[in-house]
Amino acid sequence: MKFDLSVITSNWQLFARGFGVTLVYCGVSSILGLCLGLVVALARLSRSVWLRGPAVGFVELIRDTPFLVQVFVIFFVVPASGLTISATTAGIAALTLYGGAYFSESIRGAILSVPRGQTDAAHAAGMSHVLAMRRIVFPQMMAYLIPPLTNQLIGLVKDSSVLSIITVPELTMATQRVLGTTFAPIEAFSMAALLYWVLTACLAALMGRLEHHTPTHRAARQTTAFLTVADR
Amino acid sequence: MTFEPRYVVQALPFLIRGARLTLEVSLFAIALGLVVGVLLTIIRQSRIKPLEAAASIYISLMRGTPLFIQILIVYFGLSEIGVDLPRFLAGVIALSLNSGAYITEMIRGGLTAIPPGQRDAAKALGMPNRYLWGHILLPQVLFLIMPPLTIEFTGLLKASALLSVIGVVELTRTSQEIIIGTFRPVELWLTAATFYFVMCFVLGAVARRFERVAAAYRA
Amino acid sequence: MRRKGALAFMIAVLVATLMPWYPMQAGAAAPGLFAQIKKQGQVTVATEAAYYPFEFVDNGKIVGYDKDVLDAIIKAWGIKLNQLDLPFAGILPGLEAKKFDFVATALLINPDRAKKYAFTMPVAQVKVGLLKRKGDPRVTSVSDLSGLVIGSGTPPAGPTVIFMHYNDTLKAQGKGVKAQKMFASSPDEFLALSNKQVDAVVDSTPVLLGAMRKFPGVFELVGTFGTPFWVGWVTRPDNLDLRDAINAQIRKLRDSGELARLQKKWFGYTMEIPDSGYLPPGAIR
Repeated sequence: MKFDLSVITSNWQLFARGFGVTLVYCGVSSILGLCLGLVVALARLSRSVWLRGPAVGFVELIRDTPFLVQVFVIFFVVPASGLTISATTAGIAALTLYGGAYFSESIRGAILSVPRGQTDAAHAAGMSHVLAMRRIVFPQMMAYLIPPLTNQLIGLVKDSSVLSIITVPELTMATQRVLGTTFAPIEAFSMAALLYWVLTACLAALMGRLEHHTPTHRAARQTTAFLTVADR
Repeated sequence: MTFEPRYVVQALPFLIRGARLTLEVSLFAIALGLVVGVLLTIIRQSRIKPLEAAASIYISLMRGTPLFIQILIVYFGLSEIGVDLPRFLAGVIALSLNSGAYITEMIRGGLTAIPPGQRDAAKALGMPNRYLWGHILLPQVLFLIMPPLTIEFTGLLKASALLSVIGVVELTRTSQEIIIGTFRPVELWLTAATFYFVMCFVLGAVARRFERVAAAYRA
Repeated sequence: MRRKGALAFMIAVLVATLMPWYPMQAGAAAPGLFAQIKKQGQVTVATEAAYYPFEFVDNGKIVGYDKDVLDAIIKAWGIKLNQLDLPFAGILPGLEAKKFDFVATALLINPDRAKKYAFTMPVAQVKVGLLKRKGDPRVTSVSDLSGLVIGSGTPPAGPTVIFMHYNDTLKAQGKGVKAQKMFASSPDEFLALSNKQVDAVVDSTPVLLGAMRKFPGVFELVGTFGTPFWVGWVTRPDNLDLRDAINAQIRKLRDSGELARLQKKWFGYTMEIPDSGYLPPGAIR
């Protein structure tokens, strides 16, 4: 078996463009997903059944079906209701919904990890609910949030490879196009794997630095170590 | 396009067959993944630096690259180095190689939950390492990790949908095949999603039950 | 040591499950693959059963034009058929990786492929055409695609490769497409077309006509472009004996009129199949 480097060097533009598209899709959906996740997490913690019910239903629906099937449903089933949805919209929407459901679980866990007494104390000191959340809960929960969130962001990057199925020209699609002209699966897939690896390793390093800047990270680390169930 | 239940009824026997294959592939994969996970744990505890480093790189690679790509590499790559596997087995191996990297992390987490006194006591009694691991640590860890392991199993159920790329005719590929013949994506994808949902939801409930038992044991 | 026994048992089971596959390697690169197949009494063939009416799955079985031709050949050989259904992305890499003996799925004979794989004689002739939603005024002719989003298969899908070259010539005149979307399989193209996710679809004519039959009144053919193309199957380049054995059977089917009957059955019209001249320059012969 020989490894033909020219497969990679002569197609570097395709790989680079695919990598760029993957970056953009993951970046946009991570931000949108975090917003969605926060809303869903707050809904799940609310006292109203009308908020809690749909939030639980949404999270279960996303967590109990394969991402691949979700992508197919959004791209091929939703338009049957008369809505026109492009591959770009479908791809971003699928990643956002998927990310949002998983992020919401981490955010909920992190909020719950801040002792109840602290919010009570904040209220007693005359802070409003929103202010107590912003000043007391959010800063402290970051240390609990970052480790599971890192896993989920990495999961999001990896799962974005599935979007090639609905014509999104991301890294995996680029790899298949290289395959289409070179017929060299080992070289093409190895290059793709390497690029994904670099991306996820950078993401992990970045999140690690962020975690280091949170004041309570030492305490949190020990308690979350066993709780974290990584996502594929 | 409207939803016509007769297409669901027509497809049902095939989807059930596909779902059975999905379950089978995931079951084999979790069993083999557990073996891989235990092996990785042993290697990481071996105190042999190069082995430990290799295990770390392996885990990082498996967790840092898409399973989609890993499946394609196992299927097409292994045969280039002379190992030829049927698709079902290639699928099981790809899933379990990946799963093992996650399971070893669970085992590591489980080990921290076992009081260190047990290890010290075994050492003090002059118990050989084999015995310590085989009879004391692993049985407890396996029990402790049952909840995350069950969640991992649902993860594999979902991940096995990707095996449709290498032609394992599991639930997703079955749905695709029927859509190709009928052009009815609405009925088929919603039914397939329901199948996955029911399987994963039931297993999720089982995991929560395990969690209660395990929590009681830890207390 | 009960546990040690259990571990040894597990390893034994693992080895036992892995071992039997080695002698079963589909088609080692020996020169006499066809003789080997005859001796084993079984042949492993790959098909992308997602190309109506050439090959698709109905009631859990692979059917279609290629399947009927394949069945006739296998019957003449008097052996068992082990037919695999693979997504297109797995077909050509799988052949190279010796996952199966040959590929029986509609492949356009083009120079790039013919240099890498040994093509059988053609089983059909097609043109590459453009399909749109019925009455869409924005798609008027195949020679002006400006502002349109076109759907097609993912390369190396034959019609896509041809279309990419065609689009390059249009682009030079400022009439190229706005965007090209690549799908994993042909039904996805038609679903996306009916869902307005693309404006038109490029594929081979029998497939476009097949989609029009499947969705009556939804689509209309805009036209075809380029010269006609031959459609054949492939073996690995070192298995010419197998390729020739397939050719002999296709020739027999053509001469007996069976091939024409099958074309009528699946496409609604017949095609002339030549004995030679179908391979581009530089092809494996």
